[in-house]
Amino acid sequence: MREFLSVNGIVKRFGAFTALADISLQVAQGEFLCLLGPSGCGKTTLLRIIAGLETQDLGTVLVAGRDISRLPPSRRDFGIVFQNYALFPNLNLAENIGYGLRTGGAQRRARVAELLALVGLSGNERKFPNQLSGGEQQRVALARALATCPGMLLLDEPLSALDAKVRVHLRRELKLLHQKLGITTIMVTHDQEEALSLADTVAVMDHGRVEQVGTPEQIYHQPATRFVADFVGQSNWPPVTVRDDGKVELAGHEIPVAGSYPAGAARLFCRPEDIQIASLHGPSPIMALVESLEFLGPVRRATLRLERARDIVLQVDLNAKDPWIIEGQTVPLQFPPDRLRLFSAEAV
Amino acid sequence: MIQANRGPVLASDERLAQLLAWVAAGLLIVFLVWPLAEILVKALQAPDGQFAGIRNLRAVLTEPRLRDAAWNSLAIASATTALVVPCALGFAYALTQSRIPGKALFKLLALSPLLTPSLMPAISLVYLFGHQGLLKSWMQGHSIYGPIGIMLGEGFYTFPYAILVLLTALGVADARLYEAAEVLGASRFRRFLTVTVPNIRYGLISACLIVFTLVITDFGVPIVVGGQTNVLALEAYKQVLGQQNFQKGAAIGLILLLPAVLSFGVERWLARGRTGAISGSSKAFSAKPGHLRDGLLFWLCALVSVFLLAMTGTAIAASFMRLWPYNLHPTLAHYDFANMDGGGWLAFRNSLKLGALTALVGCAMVFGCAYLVEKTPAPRSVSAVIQSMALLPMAVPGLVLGLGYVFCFNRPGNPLHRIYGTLAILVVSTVMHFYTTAHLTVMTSLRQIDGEVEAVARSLKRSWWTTCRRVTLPIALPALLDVARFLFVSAMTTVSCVIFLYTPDTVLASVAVLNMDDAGDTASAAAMATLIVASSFAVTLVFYGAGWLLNRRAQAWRRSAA
Repeated sequence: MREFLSVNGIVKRFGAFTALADISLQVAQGEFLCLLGPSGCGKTTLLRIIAGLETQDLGTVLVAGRDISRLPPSRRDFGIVFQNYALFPNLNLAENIGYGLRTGGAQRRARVAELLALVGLSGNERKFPNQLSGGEQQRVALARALATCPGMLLLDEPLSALDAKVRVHLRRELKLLHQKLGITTIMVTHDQEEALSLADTVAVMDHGRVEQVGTPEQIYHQPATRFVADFVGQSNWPPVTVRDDGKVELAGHEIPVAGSYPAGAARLFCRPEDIQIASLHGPSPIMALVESLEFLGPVRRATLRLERARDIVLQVDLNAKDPWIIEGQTVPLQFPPDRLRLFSAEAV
Repeated sequence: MIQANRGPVLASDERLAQLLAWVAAGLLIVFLVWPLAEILVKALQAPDGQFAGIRNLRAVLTEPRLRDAAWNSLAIASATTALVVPCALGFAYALTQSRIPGKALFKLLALSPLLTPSLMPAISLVYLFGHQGLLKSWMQGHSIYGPIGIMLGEGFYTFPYAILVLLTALGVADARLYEAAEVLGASRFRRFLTVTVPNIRYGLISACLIVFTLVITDFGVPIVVGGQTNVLALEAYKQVLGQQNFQKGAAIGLILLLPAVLSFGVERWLARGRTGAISGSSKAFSAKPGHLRDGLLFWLCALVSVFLLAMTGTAIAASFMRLWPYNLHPTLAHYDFANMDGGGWLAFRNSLKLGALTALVGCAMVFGCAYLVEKTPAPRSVSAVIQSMALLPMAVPGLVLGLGYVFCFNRPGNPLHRIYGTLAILVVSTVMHFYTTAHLTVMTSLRQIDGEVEAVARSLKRSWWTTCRRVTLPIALPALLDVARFLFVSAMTTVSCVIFLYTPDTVLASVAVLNMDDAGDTASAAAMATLIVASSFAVTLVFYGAGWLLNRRAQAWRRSAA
């Protein structure tokens, strides 16, 4: 894939506060990149700098090798969609969508109709934004951003203001739209589910830094830093010891872990759905007491205490095949070596 | 490839916005800061132009005549405040937290003084309680010419200002607090003391400061019914226009600036961190029936309304009668201004012109400045200059501003000396005089428009003036209409600033009222005041009508989402 956007060494400070500390990112032509992170991590600031709405203190933004760092937004050729739609309230949908079009007459009408059809709102040209639901307004904002065929689409938390159901629905449509148009897209979100389901590439940010860039699978299963592991998805963090011979011990039990780590205290990262309850008859040294069960719909989540170390509590997802597990029972556990990772022992 | 920041990213249309912002800031400096600075300079000068230090100020405070005037000003302003604010509080309380009938009418009457020149109540007072007054016997030997007359006239003039502040303060009452207090068993009186009073204390202080400042800087009322009672504002007027003693006038102006600046400071200090008095979950208060309370409040409102009506009605009625109170036959003779001194119909035409131009120029200037500051990437330094200067006129009495204009633009060496004596200087000074209220109204409406609307428009490669014309201006139009109406009416009724700046060619209706009354032609003064009220009222109706039409046309998009 051809590299389209390249962000190099971006630094942005607001007074004494460093919003972005040396950010570098590459986005390929047609790629869907999600900037994921908690609020205040700098993701929106980065998007606004790419859009030209904010000026970086240091660093450059290149599009197809051309330096656009000093250009105003009107000369960057990006479509922008904001969380609160930012539609022009006094203009109808046709006027909103056609706002950036330079053509007139029939050509303009055709383009507006085409875009309305694209976002599933055909025939609503004469309606005003306040006559639409939140989801519909956001589609109009999307159509308006796409009207001028921009080189790239920038989405700033586009789904965050919507109801849960509408959000999931629009998420799916956004994905289809991206596949259909193939437009390079950067989306900012704090919602990991959104990021993982939509993006080709996710960049997880925290405190003005990029913690990890990778595919959704890499981010979820192979988090590069403890922050990423903790921020994305659910996880257990039992304390472990790495012996001098490299073997890992959990509450005195040796467990196989892929990769090698330095000797000393550490924390084991394992997701609730990765820990297995071994078949009752198989040989498994790690026994745990089922303290409580929580029904979550598709799965049951068990809270377990290790037999040998009662202070270690683990969350484990039970699949439908384990209906026999009840509270108060003692069960053997299995840890799949390739899904485990070790991080430094500081408190989570 | 690291590159240092070389200033903000700007398109060519944004560079134009920056340039315009600088021009706007420059205009505010020339027509606001410069005149005020001249007052300071003049106040520190001896008549021969030598530096005199604080000698002028000391002279004002030690000269017995001026010291008396200062004491009178203080006493009358305090007494008027003590009279007006409790009445206004009762009135506003009745309008917001009772179930008396006729609230809309009462509110209309309470605000009606805004449409009249401040001289009108004074003329009415003379007609009612003066030497040949209809109700002279009510005075029981006291004279209306003096502190009593000034207090009543100023009371009329300042009442709507106090009402507006107190209505806002009482309007944010949160019903949940009252419900909580009631459930806890608090009596009605205790609820008033523990919920209402703490809620409105800022409003009360604000109302007191506004009334006090307005009274102490007004000379329209004292000039008509002051009699032998001298006040500082009158003294400044006499020193400058009567005796051409600019230095002493400036010193008095500086002293009159004091209470205004002080109250402005207190107001800002009170406003600090007082946002969100009403939260999203607040419940609007609706009064429960209470017969005794409503009865008392109704009579209070009725009494105040009768007084307000009498203050406008008497002058209007007298203007249509041969010779009040002896010959009550109807006549239009007093409206035959052609045979009278004072400017006549020319003055009235000039006032209409001034009103229209002030509304036009003022709206353009206020909207332009607010738009540049709020919606374009104007440099922070210019924005700060414009923002702080826009608030300055609130702290400057019209009288002081007028003095500043005289000192500044009447100086032959001033390159802008040519505008002195033209309608232009009247327009500019009036715009500046009422700038703050207009600015705050427009700013509030602009801030309600999502800032990201501009960001989207920029990314769609449209210049800011396109977005301004197609989106921002249509949305802000109702607020702008309101500002235009306010400026028009204010320009029609004001005397304080323009009295120093008019010439025989540019004489104004409100000034003509003063001059005709001064010449002893009270009936014609009343007739001219009546014309001002009538045209202010007509203009208000026209603007409300336009606002209504606009609202109806824009209903499709303005109606809040269901």
